[in-house]
Amino acid sequence: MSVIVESDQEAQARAHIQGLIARRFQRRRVLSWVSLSFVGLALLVALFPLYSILEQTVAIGGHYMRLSFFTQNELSPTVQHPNLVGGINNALVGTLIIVAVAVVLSVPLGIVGGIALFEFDNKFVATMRSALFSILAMPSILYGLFVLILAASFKLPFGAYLGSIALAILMIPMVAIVTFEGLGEVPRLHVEAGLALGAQRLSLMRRVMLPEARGRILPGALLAASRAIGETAPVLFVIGSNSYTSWNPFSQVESLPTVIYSDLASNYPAVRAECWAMGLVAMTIILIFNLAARSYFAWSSRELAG
Amino acid sequence: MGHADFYYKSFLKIFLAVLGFIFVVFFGLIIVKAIPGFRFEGWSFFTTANWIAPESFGALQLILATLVTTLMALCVAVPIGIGAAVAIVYLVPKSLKILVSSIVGILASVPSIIYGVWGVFVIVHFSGYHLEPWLASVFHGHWPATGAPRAFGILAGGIVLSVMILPIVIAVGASVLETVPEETTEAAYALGSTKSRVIRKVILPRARGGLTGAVLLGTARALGETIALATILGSASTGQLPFNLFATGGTLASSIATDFSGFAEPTFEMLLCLGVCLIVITFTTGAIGRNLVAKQARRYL
Repeated sequence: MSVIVESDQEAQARAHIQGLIARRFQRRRVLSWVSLSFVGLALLVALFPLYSILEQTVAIGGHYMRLSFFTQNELSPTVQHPNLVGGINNALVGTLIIVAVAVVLSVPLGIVGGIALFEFDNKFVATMRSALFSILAMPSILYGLFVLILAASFKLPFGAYLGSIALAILMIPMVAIVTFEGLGEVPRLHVEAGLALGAQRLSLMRRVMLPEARGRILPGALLAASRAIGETAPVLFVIGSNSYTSWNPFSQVESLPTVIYSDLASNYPAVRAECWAMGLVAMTIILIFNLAARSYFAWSSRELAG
Repeated sequence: MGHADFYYKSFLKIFLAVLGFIFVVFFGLIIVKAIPGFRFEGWSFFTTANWIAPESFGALQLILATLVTTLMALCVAVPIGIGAAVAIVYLVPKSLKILVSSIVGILASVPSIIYGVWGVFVIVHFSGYHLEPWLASVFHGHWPATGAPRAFGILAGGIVLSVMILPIVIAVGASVLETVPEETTEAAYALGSTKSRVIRKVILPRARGGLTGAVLLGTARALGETIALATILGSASTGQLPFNLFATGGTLASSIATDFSGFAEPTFEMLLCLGVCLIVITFTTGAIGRNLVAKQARRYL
C-alpha cells in the first residue's frame, strides 16, 4: 500500500482550486443576496405609494368623521362662506339606493346564468363562458355609454335606476363566473350520490349543489357589490344631480364617487379637501364588504372541511 | 328525464339565450350608434389630432396618449410588481405572508376615484414641483422633456396608472407563483442551487405564462382607466402628440368622461366612436393575452 505524498506543487494547485471553488460559492452567495434584496426592495417600493394613499385618506378624511357629516346634505359654498360644505347624506343614500337596486337586478340573474353555464357543455356555452371572461376586462366607462344610449334612444329621464342598470350589467358576469366556478368545486361524489338516489337535476341543484357552493357564490356577490359601490364611470352621466336625500330609485340622485369626481374640480379648497373624507367613507364601506366576503369564504370552507 | 327536469333545462336554455342577447345588444348598440360618427369624421379620425367639438374630431392624440400612459405604467409596474410578487411568495416570512397578501388584495379593490383624489393632491403636486423641474433641468429642453413643465399631464397620469395596476399585477402574480409545484423547486435546491438561481432559472420560466396573464390584466385596466385619468389629464386634445413627458391631453377613456355634455348631434356619436376604439383595443389585448397564456400552459403541462 502506497502513501500518496503531495508535492509542494500539487498542494499549491489544490489550494488554488479550493480557493476558486470557495470564491465561486462566495460569488453565488453574494449574487443571490443582491437579487433577493432587489426583490425585497421591489415589495417595499410597491407598498409605499399604497401606504401613502391609505395614510393620507385616513389622516385628512378622519377630521370630518362626526355624526353631522353623515346626517347633513351637501351645501354649496359661496364667496362669503367658502367653507360651507355640509355633509354627505344625499350622496350616501344615493349610493346605497343605486347599488341595492343593482344587486337585486344582477345577483339572481347572475346566479341563474352561472347555473346555466354549468349545466350545459356545448360550443355555444363555451363561447359564452370565454365571452364573459373578456367582458370582465372591459373598461367600465362602456357601461356608462350603454345606458346613455338607452336614455337617448328611449327618451328616458335621468335617475338612479339607469345607474343601477349599468352596474347590474357590470355585476352579472362577475356573479355568473363565481357561481360557475363554485358549482364546479362541489365534490363529484356528492353529485353522484344525489344522482344515484334518483334526484332530478333541478332538485340536485337546489338541495345539494347550490347549498354547497354558497361559500363561493355569496362572497363573490359581495365582492361584486363592493366593486359597484366604488364605480364612478358607469353611473357618472345618468344619475343626474340632487342636493337633497332621496330614497326613490326613479328620482335623480348623487353618488359618493360622482360627488368626489365633481368636487375635485371645485374652485373652493374646502370642497376639494372634503374629497378625502368622502373617499374615506367609500373605502371603509368597500373594506367592510371585502372583509365580510373573505371571512365568510374562510368560515364556509372550514365548515365544509370539518 | 322527468317533467321537472325538462322545464328546468328549457328554462336555463331560454335564460342563456336572453343573457347572450343582452350582451350582444350591449356591444352592438354602442357600435351601431357610433357608425354615423365614423361617417362624419372619416379617416381623419385616426390620422389627425385636433379634437375641437363640434367641428373636427381627430382622435390620434387620444389613441396615442392611451398607449403612452399604459406603456409608462407597464415600465414601472412590471418589474416592481413581479419582484414584489416573488418577494411575497418566497421572501416574506410565513407569519407575515397572509397580512401582506391580504393588504395587496384589499388595495386591488380600492376604487379608481380614490386613486384620482390621491393623484390630484399628492402626485400632481410632486410631479409639478419636484419631478418636472428636475427633468427640465436635466434635459435642458431636449427630448423627452421639451416645453414647459405642466403638473397636470401625461407624466403624473402615468405615475398614477402604474400605482393603480401594481396591486393587480402583484396579487395575480403571487397567486400564479403559488401554483408552481414544490417538487421542481426542491429538485433545484437539491442540486445545490441558491435561492435566487431557483427563482430565476426554475420558477420564473415555469410561471411565465401566468405572469404574462397578470401583466395583461393590469394592461387592460390601464388602457380602460377613466376616472383617475380624467381628474388628472383634463379635457381632450391639445393638438400636440404625446411623445413627450410634459405633454397634456386626455386618453380615449378619460375623454369620454370629461367631454360628455349632452346628446348634441356629432359630438355624442364621436364619443361613442372613442368607446368603439376602446372596445377594439381592450379586446385585442385580451385575445393576445389569453393566446399567450394558453401557449405557455401547453408547453409547461
